[in-house]
Amino acid sequence: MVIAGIAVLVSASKDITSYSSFQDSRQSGRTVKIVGQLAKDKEMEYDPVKDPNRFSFFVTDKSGETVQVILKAAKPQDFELSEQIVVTGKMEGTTFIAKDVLLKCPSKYKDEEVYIKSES
Amino acid sequence: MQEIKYVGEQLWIQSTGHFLILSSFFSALFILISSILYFKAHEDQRITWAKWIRGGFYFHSFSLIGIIGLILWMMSDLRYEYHYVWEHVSDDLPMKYILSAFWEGQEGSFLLWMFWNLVLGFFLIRRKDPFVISNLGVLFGVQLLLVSMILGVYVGETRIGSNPFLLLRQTMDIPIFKNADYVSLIKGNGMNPLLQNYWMLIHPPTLFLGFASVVVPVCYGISGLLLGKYEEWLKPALPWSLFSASVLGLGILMGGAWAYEALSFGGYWAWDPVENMSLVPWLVLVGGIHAHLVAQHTRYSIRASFILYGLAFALVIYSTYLTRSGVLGDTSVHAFTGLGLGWQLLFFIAASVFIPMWVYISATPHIPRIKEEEALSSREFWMFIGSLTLLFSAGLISFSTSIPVYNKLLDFIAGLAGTDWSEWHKSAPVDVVAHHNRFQLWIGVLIGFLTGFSIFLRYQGGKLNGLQKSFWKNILLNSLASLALTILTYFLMDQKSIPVLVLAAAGWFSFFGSLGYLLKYGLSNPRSYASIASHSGFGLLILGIIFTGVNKKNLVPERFFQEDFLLNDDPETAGKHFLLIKEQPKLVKNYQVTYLKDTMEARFRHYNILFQEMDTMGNKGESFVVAPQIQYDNKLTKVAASNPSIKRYLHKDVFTLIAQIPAVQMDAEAAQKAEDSLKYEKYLLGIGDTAFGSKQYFILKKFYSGFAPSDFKLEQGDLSFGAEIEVRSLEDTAATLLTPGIIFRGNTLFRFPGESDKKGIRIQINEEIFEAAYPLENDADFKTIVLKEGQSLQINDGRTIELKSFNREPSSTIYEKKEGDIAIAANLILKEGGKEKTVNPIYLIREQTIIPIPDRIAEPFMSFYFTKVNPDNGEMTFRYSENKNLNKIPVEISENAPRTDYLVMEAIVFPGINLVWLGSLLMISGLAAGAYFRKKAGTI
Repeated sequence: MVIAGIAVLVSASKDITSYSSFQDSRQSGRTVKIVGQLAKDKEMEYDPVKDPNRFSFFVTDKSGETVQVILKAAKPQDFELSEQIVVTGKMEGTTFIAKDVLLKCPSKYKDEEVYIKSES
Repeated sequence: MQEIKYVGEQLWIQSTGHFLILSSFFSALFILISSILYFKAHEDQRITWAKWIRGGFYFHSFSLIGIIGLILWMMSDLRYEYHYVWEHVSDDLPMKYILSAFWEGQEGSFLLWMFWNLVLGFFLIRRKDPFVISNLGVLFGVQLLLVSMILGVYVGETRIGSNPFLLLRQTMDIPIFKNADYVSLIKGNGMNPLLQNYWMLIHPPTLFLGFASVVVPVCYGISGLLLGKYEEWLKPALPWSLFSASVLGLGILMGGAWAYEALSFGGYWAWDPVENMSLVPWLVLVGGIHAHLVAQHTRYSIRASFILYGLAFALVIYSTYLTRSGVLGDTSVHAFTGLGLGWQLLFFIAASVFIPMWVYISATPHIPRIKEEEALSSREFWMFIGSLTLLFSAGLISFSTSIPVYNKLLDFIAGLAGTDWSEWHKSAPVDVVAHHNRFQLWIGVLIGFLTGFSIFLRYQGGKLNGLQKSFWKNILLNSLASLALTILTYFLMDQKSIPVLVLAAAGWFSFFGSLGYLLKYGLSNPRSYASIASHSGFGLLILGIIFTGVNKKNLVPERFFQEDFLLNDDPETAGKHFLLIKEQPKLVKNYQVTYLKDTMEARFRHYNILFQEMDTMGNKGESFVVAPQIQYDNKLTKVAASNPSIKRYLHKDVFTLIAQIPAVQMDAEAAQKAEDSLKYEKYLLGIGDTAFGSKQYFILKKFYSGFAPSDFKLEQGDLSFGAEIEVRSLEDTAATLLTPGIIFRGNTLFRFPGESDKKGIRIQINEEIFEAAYPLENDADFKTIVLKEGQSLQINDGRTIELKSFNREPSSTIYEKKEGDIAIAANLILKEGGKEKTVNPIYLIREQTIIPIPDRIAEPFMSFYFTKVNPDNGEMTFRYSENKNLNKIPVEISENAPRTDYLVMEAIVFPGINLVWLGSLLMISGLAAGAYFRKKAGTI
């Protein structure tokens, strides 16, 4: 039973990967997870009338490379607020086709956000 | 820096709160130490010790309830000078959510946990078993560590705990605190709008009671082992573990139901780390219960019970560490920011592991051990295998969920070594759901088959001449029934897969096993309801999971030529969202879906979407309307959440969710940007005139005063104008009629654009109309009249003006009273035909200057000024002007307004989801029934 257990754990650990970079995905051609930041200075495109399942934006990965990402779904809420993004998918040509995106938004607790009542 | 004397702070709350926290801490410490000393004391002294300990318990309870009461008080009183209140409460928070706000924060949820410990302690203290004092000791060891989480005390540079009674100015260093009166200036931050619902009211307390109660079997176990009563602890502890498993199970189920009903991910379980870590202790606890049942009936597995319970509790602490310390970071959508309590929580984990471990090691030589191994034909053997399977499942789940901890550990060690190992960081599996499902599927198979046959085995079955014939008959019947239903399941599955089919077989096997047992032996034995319900519930749950997983369908429109069909036929990347344009039906799989309308109400935009069943011939079947909503934040500036709407049937659910709405409706900033970017062309139109745009032409049909839009209250003195403009494009045979309006109230302007979403047209009446209608003083056009109070004068066109009365306290929308003003308003009535119109010009003396404040009528366009007062003879002088020449209206037309008549949504069909709820509830009720029956039978 112990042997079976170890075998299963080894198999489970195969699923565990490191966070990749765009270059990794380009080379391996596999589906990977990439952690990066939303390139806020680059354009974001979502025109639901044309295609509700195509949202395009740019992500800079940990190695500094910025690539266009196309998410095959609707634009998520609060997308522009994200500090960090994790995209799951694979490279196709010069774009990264993502089927999943996880956003990390900044904490609510910022000093500047203590509101002041209006005088009137 | 000079000391500022602050105004309005209620500091008694902080001092009382601090005091109560300290008294809770020390009373908990007292109980812990006293319970140890109790056992070292002489027999006759023990009664006194017991009295002291009980007294300490009540004192501690009052302190703790005092803390909770104080926090609830300061929250309901909106004491924003306190950080905790500022963080979770705002002026507009409905009071019914005050409890939710209380446990929204970590300090609050720790207090909730401590509160439940009080309740548990209250029941434990009334038991008549020999473990009362030792149980209390263990319980308060835990309680002590929990109180330390809210201490907020400093030892040197290190802070222990996070004090909920800190003032905002003690936690934040911002300029507003230079103001002595800041209390009247600050507003609360408020609760996360996603948490303002009934789930937040019931899920945390249930879940925390579940977590808290896991300690009780551990209390009994430690007590038993320390006091040398190695078996006597089993009986009283069992109802508690069953209770704990049922409540914790219910709490977990509520979490899943909440996610399904209110969140946008479309499902009830995502293998998210926080979900996983609440399931893991439950699995181990249930494993412990099975070992415990074996120990009750056969005296095997006493050690296993103790170990599993101890492990379950340690996992509860580990789980709270993962959730609260912020270590989960990118891997969880539940990532709460840490309070800096990381090392305290780690200490807590260590204590919960090492203390039971130490107890076990010292006691294990004395725990009775049965020499003979369990026989293969005995129930206890297979139940033990079951416990091991559950443990294994828990281990697998924890393994991948703990990856962030592994990364953090790596960083910590690297830090000590002065290097950077961040390149060795691992990430969570690429597809978390597939990863866990892959293994848990086989766990499910194993458990399903185990429950299906072991229920027919008997305890000590090995001693009773192996397996009886009746056993084989039962198994045969079970197998036949399961086989039949598995074949049926095969045909019902949309995607055939062997592993899933095996799982289905296991589910049926478990279900029929329990059913068979019920029919054969259970009807005469109500106590067996517990295991029958639990295991048949498990079977149904498995089947529900299969159907909602395998047969789950995203409803998407049929596309004959998918643009990426040739490039990529991966069904996962074909989108799951579709666009709906208002009032235009769209064929989506077997439904015709129509976006009917949307209405704004308070912070919500409700959508009505019609689903009409339609087969391939176009025949209509049943129809229903769903009402998903978009929820805005408190200031109505941004979208806070999208709330699904679910149409429930017995055999399936249709889950609908709005994924996107037009940018201008999503946040005020975008709306403003869009408005600013609209290009308006100005035209001067008379009645019947036509303006030519780029794509259509516009005819002014009507212009009138008294424009009264719905949802807007007109006030006395408002000047409101409206227009009717016909819009026609060159191809259209029909025309659209747009009705813009404009309302002047004093210095404020209200615009009501006429809009056609479809054509992207916006028409406004330009505010220059005011100057056009009421040209400024031009002496020649003004007429003067003199009136006394009550007097009427006839003017042109058969009209009369009457000075009805005076108002010495005038208020008007353009006049704001200042100190030293002397003002009087005249109440003039203009009569024409049978109609009367009132106008109130004001005679104002300010700083020795006479300022007449005009008032105006909209139709006809007249302005009135109150220019002279003769106090001797009561004669009042008025000047009025009338504009009869307004025949051109300034309008602005934009043809590039973004459309707002569409939405993007997702619709998912979940067949068999009621099996998930039914199965889970059955399982939970079985556990609860077990607790009830065992308690009745016990010495309690």
